[in-house]
Amino acid sequence: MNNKDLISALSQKTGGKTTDTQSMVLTTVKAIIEKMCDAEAVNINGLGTFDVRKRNERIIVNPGTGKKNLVPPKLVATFKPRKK
Amino acid sequence: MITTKDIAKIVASQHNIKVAEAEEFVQKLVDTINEGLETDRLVKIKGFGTFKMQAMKSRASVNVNTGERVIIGEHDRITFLPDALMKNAINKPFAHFETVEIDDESPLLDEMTPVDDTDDSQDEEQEEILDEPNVETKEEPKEEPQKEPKKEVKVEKKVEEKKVTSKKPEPKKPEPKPAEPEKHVALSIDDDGQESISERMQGSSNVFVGIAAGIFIVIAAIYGFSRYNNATSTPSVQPQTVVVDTVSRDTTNVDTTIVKNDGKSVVESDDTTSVSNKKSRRHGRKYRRHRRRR
Repeated sequence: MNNKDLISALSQKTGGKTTDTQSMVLTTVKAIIEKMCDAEAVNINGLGTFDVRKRNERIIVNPGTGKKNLVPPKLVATFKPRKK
Repeated sequence: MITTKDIAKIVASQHNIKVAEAEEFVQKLVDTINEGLETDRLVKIKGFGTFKMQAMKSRASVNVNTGERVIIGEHDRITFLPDALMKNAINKPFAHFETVEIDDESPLLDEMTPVDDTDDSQDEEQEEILDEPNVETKEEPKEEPQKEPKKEVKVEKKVEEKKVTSKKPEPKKPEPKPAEPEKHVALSIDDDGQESISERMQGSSNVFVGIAAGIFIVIAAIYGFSRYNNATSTPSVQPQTVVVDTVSRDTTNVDTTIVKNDGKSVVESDDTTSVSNKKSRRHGRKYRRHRRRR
């Protein structure tokens, strides 16, 4: 299911214009991401929880050349689906 | 934890609709996502990511509480892969970091941590090694050998003396030119010059230097004996004074350390040094024990 398909299906349900639903979906998505940027978990009812996890820095070795690389730490978005 | 309601409030404030309406909208969005997952097993949302329905095969597992073997049946799991936009937005605090190549020679954090243990063990080993030669030189021979090997040493020293005396007049000329291309020569000349000057300056302190030099000779003699192991007795009290001057040139650095150990007399000097050595050894043992307890 594309983004297009999703919005058309959603607009059918709500009975509004596709452009309106498009912008509203965008705002909800942005709201979720903003909240996650504040290092907060977002629980969406019926879907699951979005969380932010920190991945520590680590050293990887290139098996081909044998060179070592230091990979910096990073923040990653994780999703835990709801229980059925 | 932020819930659907909080998200709905934000949406409502931006689109000028009631919170209840926004909540309804978000709920419908979720429903459509779930429906799309069931029909297409994949839903893409722009700027957010993709939800995927992934089939999990049945696998064997163990119940943690009871220890029984359990087979987890086939089931679907919803996975989420964030979009590049979302990834970057969330990783903003660490965005400026980049992967860096590391040289093998450069010390790594993992190697830095256990430094304390290795250092201790190394210190202990070094202490033990340092203790051993002292024991050999001090405790082994003492009475017989002191006299015989002295002669040999003295002969050597006399030869050195001649060399030094022959060199003496030379150094005064090159001294003003300290930076010469041939470093070895310059160094040796400087040393001789400094020693000759120090001789003149010392004068009164020559006695102490002599004592120290005598002790040094005794130690050297004992060491030499342990090598040659020839037992012959020859009286030697006279040459000490002769040796004193010659050795002073060789042992300017050693002087200070030895003089501290024994300032009493020449005869007792041997005993005092041995005692002090024993003390230091005891102290070393205590120190090591103390370290091990830590």
